Amino acid sequence: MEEQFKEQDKIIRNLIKDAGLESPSVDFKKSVMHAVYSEIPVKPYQPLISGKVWLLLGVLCFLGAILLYFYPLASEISLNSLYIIEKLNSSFSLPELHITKISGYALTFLALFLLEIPLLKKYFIRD
Amino acid sequence: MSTATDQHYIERTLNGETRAFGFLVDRYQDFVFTIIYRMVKVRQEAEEVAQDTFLKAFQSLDSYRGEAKFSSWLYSIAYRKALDSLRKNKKYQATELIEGITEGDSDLSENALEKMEKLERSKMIGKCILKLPEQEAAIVTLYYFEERSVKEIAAITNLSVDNIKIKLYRSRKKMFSLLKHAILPEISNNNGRAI
Repeated sequence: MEEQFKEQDKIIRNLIKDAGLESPSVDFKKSVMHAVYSEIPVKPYQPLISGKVWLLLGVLCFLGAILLYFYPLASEISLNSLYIIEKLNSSFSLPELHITKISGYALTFLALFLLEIPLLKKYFIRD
Repeated sequence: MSTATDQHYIERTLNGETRAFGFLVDRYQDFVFTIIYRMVKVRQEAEEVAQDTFLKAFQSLDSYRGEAKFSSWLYSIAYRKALDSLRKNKKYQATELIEGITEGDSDLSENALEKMEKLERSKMIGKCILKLPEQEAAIVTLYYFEERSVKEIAAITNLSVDNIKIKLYRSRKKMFSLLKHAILPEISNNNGRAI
């Protein structure tokens, strides 16, 4: 009796393993995830930069403008006056090149910006 | 398929990364669907119930304490959802009467089944499982396919251990009877040999 029971058990186990699993339609996961996403409450719109931050930025700009008005910076920089170029200048001479300070800053920030692009690209690809 | 643990995806989902729940759907959709389909017997209805199951799991994910396996927790939701659907459609207990189950029916040999093509055989076995009563179809799948213990199945179905054992015994008998009735004509049609 015990033997027969074990035999039956073994046969049924093999048969059910053989039958395998049923699969839902190909869109099943998509519709589940769609239903899941619709369950998540939608967050009300919030601007990336809040009103307070805009106000602070405005005040800083205004203060900066006032400061520059009363204490203006030297308007030009000479490349030859830079420390490293002064050092190198002993061996060779450079043509006189004068650029405004604003252009100098603009070029510096542009260089930083161009440097950032590959770094940001790498970051987003990795993410 | 990813090899990360269920807990890893659960934590990611709970931390707001809803996409991670998709990995759990991928991992369990076939088994959840199979259990439900074998209970409700209608493919389209089974898909709807399976979808409800995953949605319910997502909504209650923060209440999952990790005391039982995630799969057991998910299967218990699937089982309950399938029963709810059957009750709603008033199909519960509408089990097919399988007559003529005698001790002699269990002399079905594996040789007879081996004579059939694999695909044909698995289709036929699938059909026989569908003919089992709802609860028994789920219990048989959990016990024989998922190899869950009687205790685990009792926890999933909320039935007593003794009840599970009785249902397993009955299902085995019914499966033998169903298979014998399904195979005999097939075998005799194919080669005219009796088993």
